[in-house]
Amino acid sequence: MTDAAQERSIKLLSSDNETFQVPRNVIRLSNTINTLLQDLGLDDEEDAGDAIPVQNVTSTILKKVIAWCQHHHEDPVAADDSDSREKRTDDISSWDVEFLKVDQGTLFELILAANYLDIKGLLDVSCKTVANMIKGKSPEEIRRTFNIKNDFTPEEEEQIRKENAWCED
Amino acid sequence: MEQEQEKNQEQEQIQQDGQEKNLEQEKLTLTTIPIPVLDEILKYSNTFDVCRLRGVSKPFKKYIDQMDKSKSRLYFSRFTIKNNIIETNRSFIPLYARKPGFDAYQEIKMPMFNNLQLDWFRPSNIIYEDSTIFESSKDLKLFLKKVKVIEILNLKLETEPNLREEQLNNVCTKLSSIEALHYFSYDGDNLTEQELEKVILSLKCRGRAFKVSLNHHLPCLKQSVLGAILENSKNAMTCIRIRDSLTFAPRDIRSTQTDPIKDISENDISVIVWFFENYQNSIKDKTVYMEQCERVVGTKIAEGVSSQFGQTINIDSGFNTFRLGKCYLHISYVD
Repeated sequence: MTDAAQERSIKLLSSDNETFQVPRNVIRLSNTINTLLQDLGLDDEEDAGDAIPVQNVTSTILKKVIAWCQHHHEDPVAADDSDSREKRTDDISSWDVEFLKVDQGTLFELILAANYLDIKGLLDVSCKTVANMIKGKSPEEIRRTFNIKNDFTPEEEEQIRKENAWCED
Repeated sequence: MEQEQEKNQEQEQIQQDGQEKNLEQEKLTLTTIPIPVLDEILKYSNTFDVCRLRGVSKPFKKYIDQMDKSKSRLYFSRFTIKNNIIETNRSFIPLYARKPGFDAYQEIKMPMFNNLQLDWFRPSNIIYEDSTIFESSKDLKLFLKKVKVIEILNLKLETEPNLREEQLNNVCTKLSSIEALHYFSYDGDNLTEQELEKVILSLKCRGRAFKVSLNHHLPCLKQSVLGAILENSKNAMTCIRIRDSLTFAPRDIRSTQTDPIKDISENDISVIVWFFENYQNSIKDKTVYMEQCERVVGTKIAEGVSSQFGQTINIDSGFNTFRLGKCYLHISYVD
């Protein structure tokens, strides 16, 4: 993307028909949008034309996604190291921690949006947040945290408890 | 601290609100997110967490049981430890470790107690330089506790004589004060026999299992040193690695028709020397080696043959059950 293109903006249309004007250098964090613009030959166009529909993302979530991109668009590009991606969950920046202090529904919507828009950084940090919510919890605590119904019979539960004995205190 | 508590409370409140909100309306939850997204999340979960998640609900159990472990690198294998016997549905028990600076555990795709793989557990002279990695890792500690490995020392001495002596003394002091089980490893070429002897004699893990990784040829060790190892191994499982071969202490239920150690009481030390099949006829000092071991142990030793040259010979396959807490000394040997 050229410098000129980076200064331009594009319009995104949320699933509930709200339009957002986003600087291109901000939304460049979304590989989905980048690819779309390139495929349509709009990458260097002054005017990208109509708003790009982001059908799977509501305005509330899209607003959050844009805010995240706004904050992180000048971050150095992380190497695509699939090995290291799965390593740490304690390296979430304080800004992101605050940003992700949302209810679970919103958090999962953000994960889906990040996944759909292919925003690696946001996907990583939001998945880490959920992983941290699981970490160290017993099955019962996980159920409580995520409001999950225990659908095991007592016998099944006992069997699993035995199988899991090795990972319990 | 207070700020942190407040933040935690705030976070908990938000989570609680989220749970209530989830109840009130159809919202995305951990159970309704698409599988690829769940995969993304589980990439950041360690095996223990995945294991626990499996016990949360049927869909999770089904999903985790069917996970493509090779891709996810999260490996799940059922095994239980009961009465000091580990039973697993696989031929090996997976170990998990993390590299220094990383949080997630990675599967060690090798048989349990494979010293080479346990080297993963050596972040950097862990006892006296950086024990924080283990201390901060409840799960790993728990697991190591289960397998009776609590602390691990990688000993690599300085080359400068004064520093070396001081370091050696410090290590010996440390070793002598630790009563927990150890995985002890050192660079065999880096220690003289005298230094090695000093270190081994400082091990006070009597009655506890410990692992000794010796990149040494066992017969090179003085009898007193080997004796110290064996003495320390009483009532314990001992692994000794000699050069690149792994020694281990399980009874071989696979390759022997009769159990060579079945008649040995739990308080005895038995030594079974395993020779690689490819080598058994070419090892010139085989007899000397056996005699050396017998002298040290003071009892007749058994001999076995492994055909798995180039692999870990004892638990690479076929071992579904092996024992902890007994004093079987299993020595493999390759020249």
